[in-house]
Amino acid sequence: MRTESLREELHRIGESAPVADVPDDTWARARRARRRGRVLAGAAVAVLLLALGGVTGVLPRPGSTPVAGSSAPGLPDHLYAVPDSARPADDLAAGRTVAAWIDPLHRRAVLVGAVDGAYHVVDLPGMNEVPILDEPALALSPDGYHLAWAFGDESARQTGIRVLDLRTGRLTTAALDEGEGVSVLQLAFAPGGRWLGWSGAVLTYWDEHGSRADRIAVGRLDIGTDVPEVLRAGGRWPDPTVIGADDRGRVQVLDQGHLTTLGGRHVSRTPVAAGRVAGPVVLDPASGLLATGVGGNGPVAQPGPGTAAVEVDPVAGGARAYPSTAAEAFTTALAWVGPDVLVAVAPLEGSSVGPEDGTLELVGPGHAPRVVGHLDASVPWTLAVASDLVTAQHPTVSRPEPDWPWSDERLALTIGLGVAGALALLVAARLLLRRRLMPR
Amino acid sequence: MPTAEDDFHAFVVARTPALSRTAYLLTGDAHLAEDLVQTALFKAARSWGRIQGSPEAYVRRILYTQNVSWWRARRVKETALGSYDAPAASADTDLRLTLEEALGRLTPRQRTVLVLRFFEDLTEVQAAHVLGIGSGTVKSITRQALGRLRTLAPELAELIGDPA
Repeated sequence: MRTESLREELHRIGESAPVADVPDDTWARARRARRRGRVLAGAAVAVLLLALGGVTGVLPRPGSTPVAGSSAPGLPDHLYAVPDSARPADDLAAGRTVAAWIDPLHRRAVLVGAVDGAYHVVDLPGMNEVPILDEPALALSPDGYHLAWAFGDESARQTGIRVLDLRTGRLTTAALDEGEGVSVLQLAFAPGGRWLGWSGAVLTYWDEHGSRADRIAVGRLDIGTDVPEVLRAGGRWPDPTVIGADDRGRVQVLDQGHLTTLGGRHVSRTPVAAGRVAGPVVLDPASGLLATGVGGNGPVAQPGPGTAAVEVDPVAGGARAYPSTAAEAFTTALAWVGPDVLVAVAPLEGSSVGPEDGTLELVGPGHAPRVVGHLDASVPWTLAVASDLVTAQHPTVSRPEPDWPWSDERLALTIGLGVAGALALLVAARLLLRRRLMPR
Repeated sequence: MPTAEDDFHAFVVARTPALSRTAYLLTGDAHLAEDLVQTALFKAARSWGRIQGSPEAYVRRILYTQNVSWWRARRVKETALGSYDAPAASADTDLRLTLEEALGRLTPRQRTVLVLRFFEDLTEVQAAHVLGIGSGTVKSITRQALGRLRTLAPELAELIGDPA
């Protein structure tokens, strides 16, 4: 393949790039941020030590820790990056799952077992053919028994939602025929796991190269069936966005700064603090509160350094920010855990060459942020979590590091060394035999 | 004797133009490229004393990984919106896409791999090391990216070459 022309053309494009304006105070701001990070880390350690000292006296037994025993289902306190050597499994019945994400580089789904912490890498059918989005929507039911994702099938001209029963591997396909199909953008399970709320872009055209859409549709799916319902089909981008569903099949959406409930007798529109809610939002079905992470597009300073999550009360209209242990980070609110919010935190501080590792933190009223887990750098902080399996008492559990399959290189090296060793033994045996047989 | 701050400023003056070129190729947008360079240099400044080896390698690696991170964060808000208005290539057979426009229709990982391989002139193994993925993955992404460029813009076949 000739690539010299491509090289030349890329350099030509590069030469046309304007030189970035680097503010003169970059160094000073960076050093201030570093000092802030150190102070915050010191404060967090001090708070932790004080808390430990205070709590030690009232603990029921000395061995009690925030992590559960190995037999209880739970969220591992370390979510590992999956190596290239992990091949997708044919069997989709991965069992009860506590965390799921899409590996953005390999476009494979990674499922973490709730009971044993085992990693299952699977190719979800149709996941990579969803028009418009490069990374499709994915949702895990609160009990960890069902996985839902957006799918597309260009040859069958079909789009919609697929739901996998993780116990049996049974796959349900719910096709969405609105327009030329629907590219599902958000999925949210109801607390009971039966209803699934969805929102998506209604396509006017799509093929393998591109797509167009003209409106946003919202609907629901009873996962016991394969017939999705469209509740509203006239939304204007980027609203409405589905953030939750309830066990009566009603779907909660954010629409033009309002929380709206669709699918019931009434459509309620409750004002939500405008501008506060952005990105993935989790709804607490018990309190009605919303929580969202911070960060997103734009430079480091957005929105406010050190914030882990923003809690919004859609009824009272108030909002409060909870701090993170990281000075600056992208964060995602994953689930409500009692009055607290489980947040995935991806720090922006470059602590080492390459992408940074993140943390799982519990943030909430009346206490400092509590680090309950570790995220390897390539685990997207937009992962899905089975919220029933994360409790205030046991937010995470301890699991051994997975025993990853050997890479091709390691396997080849082992086989090569084995063969070489066997040949050496044969040669040595032959020499020995010859020496013995030789007349003295 | 120059201080760490002097070293940093000297690095900024010397390398910002080159970093800007890479950032522009990675993002396809002058404003995003500027944000990307500023962010990478900010992070480098914060960790300046702890950088082992070449600061440029460190900063460049931040460029690559940060761009993918921003893309992930932007994807819900912007990727879909941008794609709405993006006409499909097959529907616009008369439209002659430039390489720059065609690059904009690749996924960030495809674009990043192409930049590493054909702008930075890294080998597959070096690109894999920078991105923290396998060299086989780099190879397949490169093949997909070139294939997509050919599909998106057949008129660029001369530039990209044939798959054979």
